[in-house]
Amino acid sequence: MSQVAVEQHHHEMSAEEKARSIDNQKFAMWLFIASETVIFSTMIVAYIVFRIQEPEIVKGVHEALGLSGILLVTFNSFLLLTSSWAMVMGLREIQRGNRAGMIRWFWLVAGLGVAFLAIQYYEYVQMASKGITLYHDPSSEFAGFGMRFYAPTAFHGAHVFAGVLWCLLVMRRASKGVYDKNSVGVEIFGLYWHYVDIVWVLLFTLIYLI
Amino acid sequence: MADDNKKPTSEEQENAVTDDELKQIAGDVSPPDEYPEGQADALEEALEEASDDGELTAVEEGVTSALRATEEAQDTAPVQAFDSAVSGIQSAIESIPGAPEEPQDAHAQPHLSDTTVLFGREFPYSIYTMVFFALGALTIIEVLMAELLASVEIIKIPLLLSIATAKSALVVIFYMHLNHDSRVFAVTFLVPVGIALLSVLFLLGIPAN
Repeated sequence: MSQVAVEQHHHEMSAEEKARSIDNQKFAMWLFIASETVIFSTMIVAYIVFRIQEPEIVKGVHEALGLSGILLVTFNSFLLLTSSWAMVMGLREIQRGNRAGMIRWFWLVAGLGVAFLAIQYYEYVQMASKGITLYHDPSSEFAGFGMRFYAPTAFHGAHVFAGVLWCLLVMRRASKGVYDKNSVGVEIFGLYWHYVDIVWVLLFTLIYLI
Repeated sequence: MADDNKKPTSEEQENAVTDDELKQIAGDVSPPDEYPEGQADALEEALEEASDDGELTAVEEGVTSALRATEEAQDTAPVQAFDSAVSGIQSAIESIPGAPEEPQDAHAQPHLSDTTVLFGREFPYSIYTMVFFALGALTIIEVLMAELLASVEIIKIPLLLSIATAKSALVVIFYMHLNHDSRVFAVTFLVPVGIALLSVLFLLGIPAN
């Protein structure tokens, strides 16, 4: 009797069961994204309130950055947008059964992520040299801006860093053929990466352009 | 693993029921669509016939007793209420707009074509590449607007926020596949976004120091 039960329990997953399992995994990722949205929202809202209450300080920061600073961040935004495109093209390749093609696209994703972080680090150094720091100096012309700026952008940068590591892991698993028959693992990583891209789209507009 | 390789004793071999017999017994009591009565009796008889001495083991007696108790409980109010609740949940899920009737339908492959038809014209790029071009163009427009309308904030801010929202929507709809995934995912994402927007409006109402 128990043998039969075990046999029934370990039978091959039907297509319907597989579909439900995929649904559950994707739903879990969307729930994670929802929770991330709440966390990022608190930082973004704090910045918006600061922007409304202290418009002159923000204007001073934009002037300190200059056009070259804005163009550098714009270039960085392009890197992240391009990485999102590379991500989805890689997903398309694995869904077509082209494992090598997917890995090539994902090298681009990881490389662009690293380049984004490198430029962000350079930007931080530049801003710090201009006196925009985490330390709250009431006498500074940029008083109060540092925390509102570094908190969301650094938290976002941490997500990019985690995404690069995840990307390398996905590539390693892909090279072993893990996603040849079921690419949902790649799709779930894609949801994360695109979400990080969306957050940057909003941060870029709110912090650097408005 | 060691237990799996242990050889059964001669007594265990004599009392062992063959796989075919087990499958036959299990087949006789496969779960019915509804709750026909007499399944417990049928199982008991089948087990007694399969047994050499006609006696049931403690486990077999337990199983038949549990099945008999289930049959007796099926007409009670709690069981009927549970059935009703499960049916209600299933109906609610199926009635969600966009919810797939068959689970497999939700996982149809995304658009894998190398061309995209837009406004009746065919472009030699995939939809993903077309969206990438749109994102790049919108980013350039954003930066230009920010510089050209720097002193006209009343126009600049809503315009830039609209463009940023459009860019985010393009990524969510096409890259994150919300255009053909279950609407439940969209609701899961949009609810916290709505809460964030409400919190912005609330905080805007607080006067500055």
